[in-house]
Amino acid sequence: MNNLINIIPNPDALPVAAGWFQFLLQFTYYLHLISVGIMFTIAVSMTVGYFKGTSDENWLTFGKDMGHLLPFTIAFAINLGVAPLLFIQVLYGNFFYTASTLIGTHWILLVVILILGYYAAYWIAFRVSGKHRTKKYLALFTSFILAWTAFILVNVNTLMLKPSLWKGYFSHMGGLHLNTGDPTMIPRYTFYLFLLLAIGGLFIAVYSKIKYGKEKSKPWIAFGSSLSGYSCFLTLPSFIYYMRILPHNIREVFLTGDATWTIVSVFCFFGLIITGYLALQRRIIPASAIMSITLIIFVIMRGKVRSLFLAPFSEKFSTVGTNTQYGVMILFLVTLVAGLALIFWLLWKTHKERKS
Amino acid sequence: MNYPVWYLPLIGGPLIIAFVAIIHVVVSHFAVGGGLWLVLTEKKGYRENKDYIVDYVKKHAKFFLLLTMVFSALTGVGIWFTIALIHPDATSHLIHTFVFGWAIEWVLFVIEIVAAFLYFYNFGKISKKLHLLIGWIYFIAAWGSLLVINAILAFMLTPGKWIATQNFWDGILNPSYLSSTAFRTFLCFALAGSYGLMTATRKFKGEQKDELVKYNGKWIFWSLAGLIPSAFWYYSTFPKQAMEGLAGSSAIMVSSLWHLIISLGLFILFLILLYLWKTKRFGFKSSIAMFLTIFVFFGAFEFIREAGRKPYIIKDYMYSTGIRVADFDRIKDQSILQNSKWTEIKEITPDNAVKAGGEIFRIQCYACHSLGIKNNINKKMVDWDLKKIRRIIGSLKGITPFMTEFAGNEVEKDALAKWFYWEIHGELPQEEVEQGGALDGPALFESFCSDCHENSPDDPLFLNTSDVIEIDGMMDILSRLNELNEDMPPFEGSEEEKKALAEYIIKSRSKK
Repeated sequence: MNNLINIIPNPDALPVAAGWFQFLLQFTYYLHLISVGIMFTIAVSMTVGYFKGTSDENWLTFGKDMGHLLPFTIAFAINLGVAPLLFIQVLYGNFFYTASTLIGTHWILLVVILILGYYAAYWIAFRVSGKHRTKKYLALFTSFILAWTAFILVNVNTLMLKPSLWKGYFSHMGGLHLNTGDPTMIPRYTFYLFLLLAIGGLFIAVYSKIKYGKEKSKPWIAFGSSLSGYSCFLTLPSFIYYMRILPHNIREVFLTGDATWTIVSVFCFFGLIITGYLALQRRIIPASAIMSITLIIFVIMRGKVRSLFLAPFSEKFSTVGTNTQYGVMILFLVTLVAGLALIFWLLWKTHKERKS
Repeated sequence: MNYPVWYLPLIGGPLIIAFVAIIHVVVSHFAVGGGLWLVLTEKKGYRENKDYIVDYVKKHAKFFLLLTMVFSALTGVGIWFTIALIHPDATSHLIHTFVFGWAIEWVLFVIEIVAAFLYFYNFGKISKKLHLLIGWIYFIAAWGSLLVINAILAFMLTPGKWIATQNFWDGILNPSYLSSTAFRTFLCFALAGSYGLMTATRKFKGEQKDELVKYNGKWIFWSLAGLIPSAFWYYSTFPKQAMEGLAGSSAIMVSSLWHLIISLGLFILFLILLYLWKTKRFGFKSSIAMFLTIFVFFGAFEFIREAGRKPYIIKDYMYSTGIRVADFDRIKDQSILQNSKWTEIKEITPDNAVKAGGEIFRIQCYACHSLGIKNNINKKMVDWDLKKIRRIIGSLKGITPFMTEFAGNEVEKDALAKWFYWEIHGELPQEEVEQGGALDGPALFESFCSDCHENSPDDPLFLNTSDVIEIDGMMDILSRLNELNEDMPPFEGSEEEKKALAEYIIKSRSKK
């Protein structure tokens, strides 16, 4: 263990207590997770729409609609990812930077492929006269890129938890490592893919209900809620397998070792089951409500798993320095509230004028 | 040295950073200046009741959407990723010191995105008043982002009082903050006007083209009217060392300054031609040339700013190598390998010296040098013997203002020299390693003096020692080189070599 402690970089001091950053990290990650779920599912649905749309006009219309939504959702998913990326670097920068360096080439290429995927999404949305065949494969390409992005993010997020794997750096320093040897990586990734589809499926169902009216929306509500429902159930094998292969001391915390965390994990598990059940029953509003709560529990649970993995290295956690910045933090919070108020006002005002 | 780095020695870290950074800064500045351009040009369209101008703005808005939402946002993340991979120590420090600054910038960017979407998708669908208001909000949010990010960039060049107080606001409101903000703001406007010229000459013909060329010309004229004085103001807030670099002590800074002056001169010349030709003959090709000159101007400016900071990544606080100034002497006295977390070798032995040297290169040199495309350190050493390599490593600070001293002990200096020699020649010179070189005067002069001195009577070495005629006196001078002139490295040869060199200098002088 001493050997491992020695290679973990020394942390920089925090400007305010760690709890504030934990809250900001969890809160912004929650928003990011929802936005990524919506984005990914829209990309997948667009792809399905274009592929099935070859022989079915309704599917093609649906695919085009999803295509128009996709650029917005990519913009917000990326933007809402910036904040948790910032706060995780503040709290666990010494773990995070090291992990991202190990996968450095894949990490930097994310930017390049995301630009390509993003422009592909815009091309599909803006090129009205574009060939169907081209759009079909570009849609598939965009979906693949988004799935690959999730894969790399899961890589860095699992690798940062395991300093014992970092010594691979000395065998190759050019950033071509991936954390595929870590048994927690694949179940975590598959869990995420299904969770994202479960989130986004509900969004599509709700969106279709608002957008297409009662009758026209039926097939798309069915599509969205079925996608969400089945995906919820498909998260469960990964969830169970992931819990099973967690190190004994961590698994114990969630399975009877600690009453609070056992309740949290049970809530998360059954939250997914209930959401899945409600979604398959086409009860999309209650399903969305349960999903929103389940995601809060999941995000808290995820944070706990991370802190348990890193607990042996707690001496390398950032602590508050002598120069605190509570005044600046208040300025940020005021800016955040004012900014959100401005955004809501703009959306409301624009919506009102467009309606009139 | 606290972190591992993404190690691509053939490309080099600085080239990767420069590539991502230059794309991002141009696009992001363009996004800011374009925000004001959009809203003022749209206003002009409404005021003069000219639909073609409003259409022109709409097409621009689409381009901005694609540029700011996609390219600016993602290359912004890209530059963040890149510096964290190449300079993780500095990135971590900047993130921790200014986390709430970055967070405020994030809020502003969210506003920017929402405003950009609303602006583009609501042309003609909402009242003109609200549409213009959304345009203003987009511009103010984008400029607000610049205010925050530029504060941190300026901090890296002129941390000012922050060094002593470590206070957030001392870091933000640093000595070059206001001047650099003014400079960058006018640069944003100049970029927007230059792009406007390109589209005006591409999309329009006849009177409409002339009108819009003139409009964008005016836009550029007023941008320059602010840009040029603010450049002088910015220069006046540069640190002394950067000013000296521009005055001649740094070849790269001088070369960048010439690029900057020539490109600005050409840019102004194009502007004059635009008016002399009365816009009729000012076409698309001319506007592209004009845009390229401002692009070169921007690139040259960023090079000067970056070079002006060297050898620091955060001036007077942290070196480019990630070593804090406060820790430097301790590390130098102890050992760079033992103070670095990410090295396999902690103790150098004759068997592992070359490999250890490679590790030292990664820790000490890779932040600025490569072994391939950019700033290839080996190219400079092709003709050097091991002794000279070692000696140069020992006297880095005096050689160029960009370099700091070698932060390691004598054994590590040897190891690094051996690694360089081995990298260049594929083997080590057995004789030199074991016994040292011959006591040959010209060879010693070449090895110890020729980097800075010429074997000529006009050289300060001969002029300043003209009254020293005894060998002992010359040996005394050689023993106190760094006391006599702080830019000189101490003499690192043996007593025999010192004597032989002293004899050679005296003899050479008498012959001349």
